[in-house]
Amino acid sequence: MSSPGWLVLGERAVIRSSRNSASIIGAIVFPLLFFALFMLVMQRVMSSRGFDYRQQLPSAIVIQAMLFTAMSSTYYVADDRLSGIMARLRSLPLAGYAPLLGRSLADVARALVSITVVLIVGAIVGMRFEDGLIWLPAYIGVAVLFTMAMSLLLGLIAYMSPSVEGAVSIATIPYLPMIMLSSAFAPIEDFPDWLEPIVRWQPVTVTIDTLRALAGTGDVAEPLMASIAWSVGLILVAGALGARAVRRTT
Amino acid sequence: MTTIASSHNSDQPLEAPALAQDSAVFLACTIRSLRRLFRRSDIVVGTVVFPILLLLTMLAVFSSAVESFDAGGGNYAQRLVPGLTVSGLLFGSIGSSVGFFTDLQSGFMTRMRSLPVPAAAPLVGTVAAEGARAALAVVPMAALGHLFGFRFENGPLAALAYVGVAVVIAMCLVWAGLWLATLVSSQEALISPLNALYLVLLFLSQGLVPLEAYPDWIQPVVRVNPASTFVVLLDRLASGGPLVQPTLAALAWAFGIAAVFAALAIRRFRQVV
Repeated sequence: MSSPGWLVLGERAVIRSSRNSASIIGAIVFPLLFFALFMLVMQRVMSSRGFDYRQQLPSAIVIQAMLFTAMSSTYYVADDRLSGIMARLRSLPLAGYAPLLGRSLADVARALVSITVVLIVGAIVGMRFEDGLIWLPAYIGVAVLFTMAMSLLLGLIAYMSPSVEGAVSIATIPYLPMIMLSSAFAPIEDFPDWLEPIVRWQPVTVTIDTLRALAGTGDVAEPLMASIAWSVGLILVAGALGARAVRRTT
Repeated sequence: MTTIASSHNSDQPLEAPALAQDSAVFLACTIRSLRRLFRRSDIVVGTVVFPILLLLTMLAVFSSAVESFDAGGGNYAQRLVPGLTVSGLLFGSIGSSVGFFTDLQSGFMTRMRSLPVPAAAPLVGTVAAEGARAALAVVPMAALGHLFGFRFENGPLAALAYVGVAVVIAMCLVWAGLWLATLVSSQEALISPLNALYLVLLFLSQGLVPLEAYPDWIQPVVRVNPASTFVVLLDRLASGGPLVQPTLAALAWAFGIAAVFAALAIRRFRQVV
């Protein structure tokens, strides 16, 4: 019995990204750079608000890295689509969901590298799993699920794009409001009142809050349920639409 | 070896018409560079959409925290508009570097070299287009900032100087990217290092938070960071305060960067084209 198509394509995607030094820089250097820069620029300001960056920032940087991961994969998805590889794959007996699922599994592999690096540096800076490392697997699981959701969503958008650079720039636009208008860098109470409900319930906030609760001592049930609902919902919807788009490729 | 600007003139007997022709070529190259900038969706997003989104989101996230930390500093938009203007000059220049790189790779530069036009024309065009792009990027940022409390408190002359300074800085900074574009073999090898460098320059400038917000040990670095000197000069032009020292510091950095990287870029350019 040979390997299923999505696994083969996932392996191809991992090989392809790992040959590209930019994706290694993107997975390791940029998250650490943002980590260092936010610590330098905002730690004093935020600790004056009672928001401890040493404990709270690593989870934000993890999710930022997950967004970077999904964004970088738009390049490969659009390139595969436009270079004709996808049309070639369509001549094979392959499930419609295989190409984008394979791509998102490669993203998960890259995400694990980012999570590891950020958590190690976070531990050095002073982040602690206050209820013990028993919560670490759940922490990684929530982050990975979020990566898959974002990867399938941005992959779907990239697949529809008429050009590679168009795909990459379209993927850049939601990134900024999603990460900035979240609990990543400031407490939710700091936002203008009318924005608070959006900030509180958008996927990035509930996922970061889940990670923080898993690492800390806060209530985990509510953000966890919201995060899983967002991630699973996006995986199902974007996955189904992506598979349909692939099946229609000629 | 003749200089770049005059390399073709030896076989042209009439200087005056040649000068007019040269200006026409420079202008044509500038317009071409500008048009290309605005045709590429990634560059428009980077130059126009991204800075505006950054201004709106930074205001939403950090206004309360920075305004309460920096009690005497007043409105956050007053600090952030000069800061993100410099951010736009830095990150926007990456687009011009990418365009220049594409021209080198596609053979456009080699083709230009075979024509009876000044060899410097495409370089001059790229740099002039960068200046025009900066002027176009500065205005919407200031206008949008106005909605959130940003004011040119020094009057219209200082506002004009603000735009002029931004254009000069942009035309100086872009040389670093142009030089890198002559060295690398892929767009990613050009974009990633510039992104990382400009991110550090921006975060360690005084454009996002006041100097006192940084840890004490890094404050001297923040103070001399070129991006910091640009932010301080733009901030003084917008908000008032002594101008002599900030002007000298910012222009020394801008012209220093331009002198070093223009020399390097032009040398490499002659070798590779």
